[in-house]
This record gives sequence, C-alpha cells and structure tokens, in this order.
Amino acid sequence: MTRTQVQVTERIIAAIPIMLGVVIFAFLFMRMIPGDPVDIMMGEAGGVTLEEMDFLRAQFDLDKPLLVQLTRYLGKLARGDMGYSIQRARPVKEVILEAVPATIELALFSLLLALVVGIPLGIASARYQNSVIDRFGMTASFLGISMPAFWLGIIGIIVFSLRLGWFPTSGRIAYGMEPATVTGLLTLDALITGDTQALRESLRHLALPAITLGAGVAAVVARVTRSSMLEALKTDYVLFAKAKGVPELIIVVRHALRNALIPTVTVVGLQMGTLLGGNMIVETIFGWPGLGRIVVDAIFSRDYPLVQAAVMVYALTFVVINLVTDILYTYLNPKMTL
Amino acid sequence: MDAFNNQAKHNTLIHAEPNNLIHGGKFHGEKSPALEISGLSTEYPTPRGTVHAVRDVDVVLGKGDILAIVGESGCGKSACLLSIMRLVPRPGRIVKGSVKFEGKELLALSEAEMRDLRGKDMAMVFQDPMTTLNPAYRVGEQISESLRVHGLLSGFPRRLLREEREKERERVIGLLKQVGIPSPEHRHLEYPHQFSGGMQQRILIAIALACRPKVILADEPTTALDVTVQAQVLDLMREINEELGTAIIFVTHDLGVAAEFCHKAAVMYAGQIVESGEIEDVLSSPLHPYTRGLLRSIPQIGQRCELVPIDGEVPDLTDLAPGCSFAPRCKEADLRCLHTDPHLVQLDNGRKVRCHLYT
Repeated sequence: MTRTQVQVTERIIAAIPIMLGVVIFAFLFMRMIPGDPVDIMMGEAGGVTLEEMDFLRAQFDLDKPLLVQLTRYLGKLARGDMGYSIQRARPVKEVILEAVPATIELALFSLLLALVVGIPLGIASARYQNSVIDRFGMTASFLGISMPAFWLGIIGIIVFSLRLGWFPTSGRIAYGMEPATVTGLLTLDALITGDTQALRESLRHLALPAITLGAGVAAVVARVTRSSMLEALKTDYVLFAKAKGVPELIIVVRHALRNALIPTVTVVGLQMGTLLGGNMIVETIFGWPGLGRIVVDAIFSRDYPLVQAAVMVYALTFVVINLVTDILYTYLNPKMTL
Repeated sequence: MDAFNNQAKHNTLIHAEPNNLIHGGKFHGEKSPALEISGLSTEYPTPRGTVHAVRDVDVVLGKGDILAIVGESGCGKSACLLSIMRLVPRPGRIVKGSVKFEGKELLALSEAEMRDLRGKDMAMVFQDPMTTLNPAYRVGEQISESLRVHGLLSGFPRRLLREEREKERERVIGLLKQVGIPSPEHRHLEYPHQFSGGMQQRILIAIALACRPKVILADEPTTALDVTVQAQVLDLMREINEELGTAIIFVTHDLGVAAEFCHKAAVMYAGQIVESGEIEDVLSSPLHPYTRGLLRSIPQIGQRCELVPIDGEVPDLTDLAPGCSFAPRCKEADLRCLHTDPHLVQLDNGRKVRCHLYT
C-alpha cells in the first residue's frame, strides 16, 4: 500500500469510534424529548386504553430500561439491522435507502450549480477587481447569502411554477415516468437507460430546488474564491510566471487558481455537509422525497429507529466529506499530508 | 551606443578627454549594448499622492556585462527591473522613457509581443525563491513550462506523446544538471518545499536559463541565502555569464557582493541613478557623497575603524522637493543643491555622477 492508502485506511478506522459515539448520542437525545412514539400515535388516534398502549410499548421494547434498549439496538446494528420504523411500519433500512438517492441527487446538482456559478464569478471578480463585473458579482453573492432558502423557494414556486408554468411545483418526477432503477439517482438512471424523456422531466423537477439550495452555496463559493484569488494574484509566483512569459489565462487558472482553491475546498466541504444534511427546509417546500423531509416527520412522531438511522447517515456523510476534503488538500498543496 | 551622450553634451565635463567620452570603459564600445535604458520613469498613484519610484533612469548594459544596481531598500531598484520587463504591478505605470533591447523599443511593443520576449530573451530571477516557485507544481514542470510557452517544447496535446515526454524530461534534467542540482533525474519530480533555499534559487536560475536568454535581470538573488550558499549561487551566475555570454543586471544592496561579482555599478538613490561606472572605480574612488557615505557605513575586514552611518532618512518618494534628493542628508550641500536638480554628468572612464560638485 502506498502512504496515502495507509493514511486513508487509518482515517476510516478512526471513524468507527466517532460513528459509535454519534449513535449513542442520537439514541439518548431522542429519548430526552418528552413523549414516546406510542403517546404521539395514540394521541392522534384517540380512544386507546392504557393497556393497549403498554402492549404497543412492549412491542417496540420501549418498556425496557434505557441501557437494555441501547444494548439491544447496538447489537442489532452490528448485524446490519437498523430496526423497524414505528410510524411507517417498514424496515428503517428500506426507508433510508429510498430517500438517500433523492437527497444525494439534489445535493450534487446544487453543488454543481454552486461551483459552476461561484468559481468563475469569484475568479472574474478578483481578476477585474472593482470593475463592473466585480460589483455585480459581489452584489449578487450578497443577495445569495442573505436570502433565506424558504423565501427563495416560495418565490421560485410562485414565479416560475405558478405564473410562468416552466417548472413543476414539487416532486422528483411525474408519476409513472420514472426510469428503470439502477443507482437511484433519476437523472443518472435516465442517462444510463437512455430514457431522454425521463431525463428531461427529472431535470425540470430538479431545477427549482437545486437553484434554491445552491444559491447560498454559490454565493459563499464566489466570495471565498474571490478573496483567495486576490491573494494569489499578488503572489511572487504569479509575478514570476508573468516574467516567464506565461499567457494570462494560464497564469490565472494554472498558477493562481490552483493555490486559491484551498480555502474554496474547505468551504465547499463544510457546505456539502449542509447540502446533504441540512436541506430539510428545501425538501419540505418542494415535496422532495429525500432524507431531510423524512427526518422532520420522524422527529415529530418520535420514530426513534428512523431518526437514529438518519443521524448515522448524516454523521457518515460528514466523515466521508472530511476525508475527501483532506485528500483534495494534499492534491492542491503537496506540502500537506493527511 | 551610449545613452548618456545626449545628456552629456549639455553638461560641463571635467577630466574628460574627448575620445574617452564614448569609449570610456573597457567594456564600452567593445560590445554593442544588449539593453539600453534612457529616461525611464515609473510612478505609482496612491491615495497619498504619486510615488515616483523610478526617475529618469539611464542604464546601458553591454553584451556579456554584469551591471550591479546598488542602493538602499526602497530606492527603486526592484521597480526599475520590473519596469524593464514591463511588469510594474497596477496601478503603477511607466510614464516616460525608453527601453531598447538589442535596438528594439520594448515600451512600444504590444502585450503579446512583450510576453514572447519575457523569459525567452530576458529572464528574471527573484529575491525569495521560496515564494517565487509555485508550491503546487513539481519543479520539473515549472522548468518545462518556460520552454513550452516559448515553443521550445511541444504543448498539449503533442506533449502527451512518449517521445515528447522523454525529450521534455531530458531538457529539464539537463538544465538542473547545469545549475548543479545533484541527482536531477529524481529531483525534477519533487516539489519546491522539498528543496533548500540555495537549491530553490538554483532552480529559479535554471528556469531563467531555460530559453537561453540574452539578459538576466536578477533582483537580489542572494539576499535570502546564507553566505556559503550565496557564494555558490554567485559562482553559478558568473559561469553562466562567462560561458553563455549572458548579460546580467544584478540588483543588490550588498556592496561586497557587487564588488566581487560585477563589472560595472550604478548607484541608485531615491529612484535615480546617482553614480555609475566601472565597479573598481566606483568603489575605490566614489564621487557622489551618497556613494561615499554608503562605503563608510560598511565594515572593512582588518581595519578597526568606526562605522559612519549616513544621517537622515531616505526621502519620501511621494512629494519630492525640488533640488537634489540627497541634499538634506549631504554634508557638502550648498544652496544650489537645495534648489536645482543636478544632471547626470559624464566624466572620463565612462563614469557618470549626478552631483553639483562636478558641474
């Protein structure tokens, strides 16, 4: 194994105690919220006797001491069993596996949008500092940072869905048009199976939520890229590249940007966690059947196993993103090691 | 030809034999100039006012010559080099003057023509190699980039071919060998931070040498290095000068280094050249009070004498008072010095001085 491979393996092993800690914390914190799933379900249903409620609690092990519940839960988890969703009456694993691709797809498209808009805007603003481009870019990014997603999403729906009718108001794809499942990412599946109609439909559904979610990230990326590019363009190695006779475009992209991207990667890494784990609002507004929406439901109905599993997925996401960010660092700056 | 001639005609000359006017120094006249700079002035507009960083600089660099530009920090030495390369960072700009490279006026070239010339005909070596090499790329790539942008190696997509890659490798290794980097066949794949300061400076020199330039502009290339390494780098540059005939402008604030390494010297003060000539002449019989002060302020080995600093401070280049810039610090200044700016006066032996004492 190369040095990098060893270091990556070490990092993965180091992630195991982190994950265990997260599972235990999620377990305990959920139980600190007053009211258990049975209370909430039966409170809604009404007309249930105490005996019936106790019977239900026994079904879900909720009558056992916390320590027993925790040990049993961890034991099952070790065998790959995430439990049974109390509210949905389905295995948690199934629910999660269904929702995760939707969330990933939305996050990836938002990220793509953020990078495609944010990085060039940041570069142009830095290269033509104080010009019209710079002022426009920084005003736009200021708006992007300040506008809350729920507001932007609702305005988007009102203008582009209801008034103009360009995009659908919610969902991932029109009913009955889903492409054959390969990866669970509809756009990718449509591409693989060559289903152009499904591709167009899924992109149409993606547009508004991806813009809503990506706008803030694009704004942050543009600002960070601009400031680190301003730094990089003033460095000695950029001046030296000019003295070597290197054309301007190559200087900006090859010499300055490569070094300026380190802060951008940091920010994108952090934002990616938010895109994957913090998009409850956008998923709720656009009726996007992803993890965020499911978690919100699960918390309200105290669906312990589902919330715990979702928290685990989030934690895993952060661990993976951190690792990827660190690997990218070593690529961008050879001085760094993992 | 000597760029100072026009100006010299207007000045009173002392100790000047007519035939010494043009063919003064041992290098003058023997070689046609590689670089001829006259009246070069560069300004930086700032909120506090315009900084006159380079004022009316006249320099002639003969082919194969090594010229030292000596002066304190902030006297415009680096700005002068950047002006020659037309790399003055914005908002700074060259306001007037002429820079002729082998007779070609550089200030009249388009940006694209200038880019072709940079690195190929004229190369620069900077002061701090640690910040001058790009930390993200292997040193081999940084050397071959120079060759590639000037068409001496194939660019993309041809460079992907095996034989092109092999050719590139050989050129890079050859250059590293030339500047004395041990085991270049391995080290060309390393990153700048894996080299010591002296080795990094050698790499900068290798990059500068890559396209066999006729002129190298070196901006304090040994300042960031310790003394033993400094000597090695100077030896290397001397070899390059002797073997390839590359003319060098060597900016330094170290008179000792200048004395050891250069043929000629130009002393700069407050953006102007105040004295120039053969290095031995300038150091053994300094004419300008500033040069004399500079020499008195450095210690001499074997002599226990008190160092005499030059009183006062370098003038602020934003608002320049009329008269000689050195007058406020000059013990020999009289009324004339405070009111009228002295011209550069041509003396014998190709020496020039900007001081009323000699007019």
